[in-house]
Amino acid sequence: MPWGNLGDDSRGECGVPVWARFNGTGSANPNQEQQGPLSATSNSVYWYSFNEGPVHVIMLSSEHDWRQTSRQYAWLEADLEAVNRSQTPWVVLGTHRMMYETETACDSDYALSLAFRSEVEPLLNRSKVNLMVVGHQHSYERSCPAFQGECVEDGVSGTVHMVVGSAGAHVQSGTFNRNNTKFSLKHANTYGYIRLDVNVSRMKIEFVRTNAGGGVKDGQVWDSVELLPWV
Amino acid sequence: MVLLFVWTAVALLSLVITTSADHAAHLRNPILGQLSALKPGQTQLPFNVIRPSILSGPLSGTSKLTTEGDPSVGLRITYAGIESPTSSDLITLACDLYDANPNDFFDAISATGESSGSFTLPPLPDLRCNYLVRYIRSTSDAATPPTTTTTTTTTTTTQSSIALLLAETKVKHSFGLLPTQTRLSFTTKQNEMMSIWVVGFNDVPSRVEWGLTQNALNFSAPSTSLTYKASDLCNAPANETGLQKFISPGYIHRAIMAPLPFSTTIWYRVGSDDHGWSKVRSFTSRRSVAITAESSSLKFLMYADQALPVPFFGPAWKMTKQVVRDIEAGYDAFLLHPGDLGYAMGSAYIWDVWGTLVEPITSRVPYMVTVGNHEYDHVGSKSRTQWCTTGWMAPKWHVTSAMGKFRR
Repeated sequence: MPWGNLGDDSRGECGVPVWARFNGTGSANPNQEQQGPLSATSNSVYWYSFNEGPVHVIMLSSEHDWRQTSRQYAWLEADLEAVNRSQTPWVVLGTHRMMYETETACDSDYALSLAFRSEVEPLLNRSKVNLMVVGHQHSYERSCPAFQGECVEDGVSGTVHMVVGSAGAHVQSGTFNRNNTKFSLKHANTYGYIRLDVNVSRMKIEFVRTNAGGGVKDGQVWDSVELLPWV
Repeated sequence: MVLLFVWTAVALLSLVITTSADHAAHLRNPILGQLSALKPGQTQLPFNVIRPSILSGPLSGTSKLTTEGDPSVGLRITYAGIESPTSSDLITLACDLYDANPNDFFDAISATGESSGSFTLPPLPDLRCNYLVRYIRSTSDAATPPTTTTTTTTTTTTQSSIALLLAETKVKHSFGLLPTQTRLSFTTKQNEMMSIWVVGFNDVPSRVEWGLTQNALNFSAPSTSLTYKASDLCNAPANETGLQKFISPGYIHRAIMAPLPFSTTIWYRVGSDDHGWSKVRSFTSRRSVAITAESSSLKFLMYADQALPVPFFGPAWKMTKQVVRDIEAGYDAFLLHPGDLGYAMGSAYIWDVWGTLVEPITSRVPYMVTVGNHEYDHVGSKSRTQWCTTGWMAPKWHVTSAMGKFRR
């Protein structure tokens, strides 16, 4: 079964240019699983992981099948199982689409986020993934440490979800008021990016606005949070 | 998220035109003129240049176009002797990659309505072909609503008026030789760094050179390269030829620097003796797996959905400068960009525009990406206007199972 059938937003590119311009190896056929240079079991630019310093980074493709029956899920499960938390106390996951969002911009995106949560979140929680950062929604949003749509009681044993789809594509104008919005601690329709400063005992995340507003000038930090290890 | 598609030309326009201060007041520039009117959250530029169906030649009269300067720095375009100029005349930017069909161009700006003038473009990417600049005379008022029918063959749009090519000039520059869009990427090994770059010609051996100081690049490694063809892509418009569709990506080279010492400033350049070299740049090599003071802390950056359409004047461009500032302040371990990179969406040259735009970042830190909908999603053809309606974005592999129960 071909992957990548969520729509035609690549207008026919189907991953080939991005594959070729970044870590492309092997076949140019985007529907064939490929061994990328990043690990023997990863899939080219689509999903892979690496360790750097105290962080284990995982990049997933939200555009491929991520259901529990999928190859990507099997890879993720094996990858998370192999993480040595004494070597890398932090696990950061990046993918394109949201698992947590409250902006009212697009109902189908919201529905997909709930489906994503249903299929993949139990594994993330079991594996103590500290942070999941996505884009797709052109805005900024940060959750509490959360599980199953709720902030976790101890404030630690949940994944913090951030939307940072704010790097230049025109920001959105929705409001952040879905049914359950308690997990959304901070959000804005603004441009910006995050910078992360990590050591073994804490992960400091700052959202830098690249347009003035919300009481800060452009280039200044508009939101910040410190995560504690999830042990 | 979907960037509502206006004209492919939008992105290009934004890249093409800036003006010297003295000229700015005269140039009716649809992007610059309307950026200030763009509200936060607005997803569609109020872009309304009519794209005429251009009759090719004969080049007539006294109209002349000349260019000077380095396109990668700022090409200056001068026009003179324009007879009966109007502000609905267009100046278009194309290149000689395909047949010199004047209807096929990257972008256009409106002329000033004056018989002579000049302006300077912002840095143009190396598209591995010679830029063509054309002065186009619209024979109907471009400000009027588009005609619904025309007897002229139109290759671009149903919004057609008829126009004449008054003047054209080819930009003389050695395109395609120097390395462009330099990128760094991790590999599986902690003591390696991959360099990636794009050139137009693949007739000479290329390599990466590196060292511990800027003036002593004592190590080198040869590159391998790949390219892709229109037929490698899945469907239209990406796999159709045209300046706003498929253009050759050139050759994408990769060379691995190894072995590298850990947590060390490495200087490097890429290219070839025959065709030239990139700038010498630096990055910080990876941390040791062994837990040390240096390897137990980390600073990195992350963002998604970068996009055109206004790279040189809009948020993305400003962001590049601010990200470089943070890289220089130590957030230099890597940058993660999970999807929606430059929004080329079938317009191959946008990959080059974006790659050039972010090179100050990608050449300084490993730039690790995954795909977003705008790089990967492909199935059939769907209306651009229905991107958010029920079911459209629902994955087919999911829609038959539990998707329905998640709807509010």
